[in-house]
Amino acid sequence: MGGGRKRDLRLKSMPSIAPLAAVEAKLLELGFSLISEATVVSDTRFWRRRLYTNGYEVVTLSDEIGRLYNLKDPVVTIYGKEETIEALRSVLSLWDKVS
Amino acid sequence: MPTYDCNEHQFVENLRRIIESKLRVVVNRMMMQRDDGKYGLSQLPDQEFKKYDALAYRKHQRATVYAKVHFYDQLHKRLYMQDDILHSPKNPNRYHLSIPYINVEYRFTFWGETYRHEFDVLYEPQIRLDRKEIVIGKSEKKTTLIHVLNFVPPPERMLEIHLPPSTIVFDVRRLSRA
Repeated sequence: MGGGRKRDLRLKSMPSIAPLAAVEAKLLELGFSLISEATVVSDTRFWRRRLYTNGYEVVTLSDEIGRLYNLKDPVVTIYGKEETIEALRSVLSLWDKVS
Repeated sequence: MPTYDCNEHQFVENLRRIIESKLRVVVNRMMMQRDDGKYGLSQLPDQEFKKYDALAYRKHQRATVYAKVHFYDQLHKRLYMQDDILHSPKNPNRYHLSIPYINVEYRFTFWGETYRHEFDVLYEPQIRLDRKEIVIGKSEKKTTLIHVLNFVPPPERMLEIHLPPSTIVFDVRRLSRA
């Protein structure tokens, strides 16, 4: 196998909910080895990116390790009275100060 | 001409669909080394902050970060004393310790629409004990053993999205419109 011929290689990206360890174990079983790591910020998130190679084949695994901003779902959407909006705004800004 | 921002998954999958339809595509790549204070120690998630454990402490992510010991920041040529503020998200200051990074942007244009994916790769900290001559007061110099922080650029391979040879990647510096 040894990484295949260059012209046989395809491109593919897959989102995953599988634990990283399971993907990593499969890569090692297939003959890949870890070449390098880096911390990447993309899409307002911190990722630990690992690069594996096997001959010409290259696989990167990105593991989310945290968020850059404190903004998180759910975003509060209100169709309500001014008092409701103000009340919720005060809770949200208070939480922002605490964190 | 609209420009669409994509995450890595969307960008690669969009590119794959074009490649599999036997079309050739030119991808422009811009890489820019930056140290503009965008990233500081308080923003780092705990896993990343651990790398600075010998030099800094904080209560939690997004809290003010203080120096644990005296140390010298080799890149910015700055000396921090114990309990100096290293980074505060609420009161950003140009004397705060900033983490350099390389901004990478990939983009391609297809039928007049541009698809873009951007990410930043942080420099890795390197901490060692070293003898340094430091200035005390106005003129007195003293040689002492002190922690020295340096930043190492990420490996070049970590800046790339690995694409098949049917994709032509051009490195460009800047985008300008006529």
